[in-house]
Amino acid sequence: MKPLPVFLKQPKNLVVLSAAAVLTGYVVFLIMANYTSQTDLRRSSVERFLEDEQNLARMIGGFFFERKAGMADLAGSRAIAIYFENKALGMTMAYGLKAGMIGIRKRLETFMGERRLGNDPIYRRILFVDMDGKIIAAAGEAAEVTSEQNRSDLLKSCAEEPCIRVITEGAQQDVVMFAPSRFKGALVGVVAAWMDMETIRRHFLAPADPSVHRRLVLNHEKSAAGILSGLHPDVNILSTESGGMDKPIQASGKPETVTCSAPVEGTPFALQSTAPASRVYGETHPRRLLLATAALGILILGTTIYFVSMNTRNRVLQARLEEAAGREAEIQDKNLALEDYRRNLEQMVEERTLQLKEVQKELLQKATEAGRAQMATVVLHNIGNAVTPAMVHVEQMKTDGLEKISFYLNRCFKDLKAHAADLGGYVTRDPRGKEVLTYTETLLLELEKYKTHRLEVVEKIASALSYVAEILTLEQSYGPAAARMNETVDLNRLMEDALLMQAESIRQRNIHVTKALAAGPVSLKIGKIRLMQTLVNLIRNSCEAMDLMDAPADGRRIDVKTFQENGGTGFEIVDTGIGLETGEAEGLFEFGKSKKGSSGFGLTYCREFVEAHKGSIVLTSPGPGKGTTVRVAFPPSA
Amino acid sequence: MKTNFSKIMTCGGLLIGLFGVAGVTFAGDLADVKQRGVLRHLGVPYANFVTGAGDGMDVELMKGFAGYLGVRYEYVPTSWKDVIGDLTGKKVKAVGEDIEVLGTVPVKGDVIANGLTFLPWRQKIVTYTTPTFPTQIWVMARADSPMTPIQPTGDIGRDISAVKKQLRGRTLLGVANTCLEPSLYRVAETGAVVKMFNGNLNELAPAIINGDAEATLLDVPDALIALEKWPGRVKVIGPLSEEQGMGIAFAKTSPELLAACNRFLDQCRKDGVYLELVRRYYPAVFEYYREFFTNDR
Repeated sequence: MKPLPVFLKQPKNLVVLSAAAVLTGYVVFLIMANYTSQTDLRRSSVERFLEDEQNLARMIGGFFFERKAGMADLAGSRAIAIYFENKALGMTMAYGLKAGMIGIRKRLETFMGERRLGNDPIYRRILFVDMDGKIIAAAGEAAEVTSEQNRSDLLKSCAEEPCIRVITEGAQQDVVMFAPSRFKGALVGVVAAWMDMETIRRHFLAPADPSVHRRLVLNHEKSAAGILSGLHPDVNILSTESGGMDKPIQASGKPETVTCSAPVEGTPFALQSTAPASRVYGETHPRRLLLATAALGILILGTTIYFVSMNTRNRVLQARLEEAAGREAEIQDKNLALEDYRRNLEQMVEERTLQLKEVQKELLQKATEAGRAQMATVVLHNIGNAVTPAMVHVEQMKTDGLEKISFYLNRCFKDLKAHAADLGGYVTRDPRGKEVLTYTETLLLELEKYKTHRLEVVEKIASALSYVAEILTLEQSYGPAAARMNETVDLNRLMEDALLMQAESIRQRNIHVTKALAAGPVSLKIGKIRLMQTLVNLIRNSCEAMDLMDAPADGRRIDVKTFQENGGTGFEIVDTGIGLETGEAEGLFEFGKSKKGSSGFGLTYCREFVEAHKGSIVLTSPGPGKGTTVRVAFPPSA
Repeated sequence: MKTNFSKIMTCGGLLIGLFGVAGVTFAGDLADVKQRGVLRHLGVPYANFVTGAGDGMDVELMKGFAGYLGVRYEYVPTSWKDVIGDLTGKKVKAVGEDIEVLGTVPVKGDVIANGLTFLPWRQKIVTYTTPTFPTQIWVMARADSPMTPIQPTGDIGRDISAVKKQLRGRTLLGVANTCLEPSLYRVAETGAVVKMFNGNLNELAPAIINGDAEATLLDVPDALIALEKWPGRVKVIGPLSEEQGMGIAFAKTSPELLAACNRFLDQCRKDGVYLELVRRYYPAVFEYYREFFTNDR
């Protein structure tokens, strides 16, 4: 006994192989079942084609049956009876009989108008013909169509009941329906109605499927329904070839069309329908379908095996894709959250910026007020400096030697008064008297000296008062009353005033100031108070820069100058103070930065003011301990 | 002698009438109708000219004429006996082809449009428009009458004679003051027993069916309607007159109104309105008098 192959020894492989064999068998079974069904379907399709046409033929037969009934009613109508009643009374066409004839015509017209299929007329023409073959009344198309001979024959052929005839007149063929009309039991005429075959064709013969062609043919043999031609050799149904369904058609080859015939009962017609063979049998032969299905089965089996093997990989890929999709969705969510956060952040920044602007504005206001207060302090300080010596002089005036001189003059007066009797002798002879004159001269000299001293003191006091008045005037000119409006100022004058305001501070620091002011007034339209504050700020900064280094007395210097260049104006303050580190200058303009530990708002204030007037402010320094230069320049429009 | 006496009486009547109407209102001429703003149509229900149901061929013609004049239409019902007096203000009596004026009556209308046949005596008191409808007088008998319809010979005179031969001893209905007045056709000479019918002209056919008489005079429009309404119960024996015409009548004092009506009728014939009315109310008449309508559109 031959041993089993190795791969069949593994149970899993054996199961798979068994399943594949079962599946293959099942597919083969399905293919064969399909082939058998297709073959049966071809046969039933042909049978159904025939049956459909038979049903349609029955429907057409029913239609003609109804028409016959209608024609019988018309032939027996009262209008025709009236005509014959009047005729029976002996009335003639000339005197009264025409009225009956008109009645028949009206009835025929009404009949024609009422009998319609949808909107299409069933009849083209209706005549009432008497037994002499004379047309009594007509409705519809007026042309004569039948010869006298034809009419006579027709009257005979349709004497008993309604009938349908095909009348051939030259090349013209018409389907005419006849109905005999009787009066008191005797045949008196015939109603003949020409059918509108276009209406019948449109409603019965025009198929939904344009590939099928139908027509009514004369069917004198009265053959039974059946397939006339086009039966495929391998379709085994009985059909008719010239009547009867007892002979199979021995067709050969591949037919192009299939034609069947079904008699229309009650008429001389048969419905003959021709359809493409592909419509009846289908486009493809079952054998070809069998081959195609088998190929498809093999393809499906192979593909199934392939797909099974691919399935796992696909699942992994699918899982990864799903995971990636999940991540993408997560990223999208986060992006959305970030987008929201960004929007919130922008809003917060806007709000904070707004707050900062408010705070800055508030600080600016406070700085302005502080500057003003500072100016006021400087003014008060200056006034104090002026008033203190004056007070000292006043005190001196209170305690100086005028009282002593007055005392000695009084004693001289009392001596002279005591010796009034011999005043001459006393001053010429008496030693004391002689000294009185000398003493008096000395007192007068002292008095003169005192007077001179008094004058000097008064002048000093007056000078101090004058200085106070000048400071007050200056303060008034830069006071709040000047408001913040722009006005034309002389930069030279403002520089002088600023130096004057800082004069005491400069003096105390023993700083030597040099001025290099531009010739003539340097006009500038600007906020006068704020420019003064800026000048005072910068001069004070220069003064304080001296404090931060132990400079020799001869090295303490501040050089100020004003200038007009290219239509612009400006000033420069150069000190010999502590100077700046490299890169330190820009930082000092930021709020909160200061070399001397203050709020650092002074320079911020100065820069905002200068930039508000489209000017520039630049701090430069050769280096630490080498002094600082601040240069402020305004454009021509300022 | 009798004839001379009748003529004298007629002329005398005319003179009395002429004087008698002094102060009596005449039928309005065109200006009066326009001033009054209404056209008064005198009518008697008769065949399909005035049906009595508010329509009729002449009713529609007169409504159109009123519209043509720009005035309101008003139908004034009257009777065959009074219709001439209501138009002219003169009460007259037909005496052969002449008239006898019996007195004056109030004028009630401006126009008679009623299938009024042209008769010689009427033409002496009213004026007609151009003929609007053809007619003829037929003898119609009950279906069971021994009288038999004549066979047309193609000669109207011989046909009339054939009919008159059958009237001897038969009772025959006629209507005074109308085209059915037997004396107009010398019926008395035939030996027929004439009975004057006092009812509506539309009732003549039912009257003979009911046995009031064996036969009646009927004009063609009414005969066609009778044949339609009572088929198999009446029969037409044959003609008693040659072809006649019908028209619209005005008082002789309304020449401008007459001329306006003739213009209106011409317009109706040209634009097809007239023929359409005939088709609607008398479709059968074309079979009998096709020539009459040849010139109409």
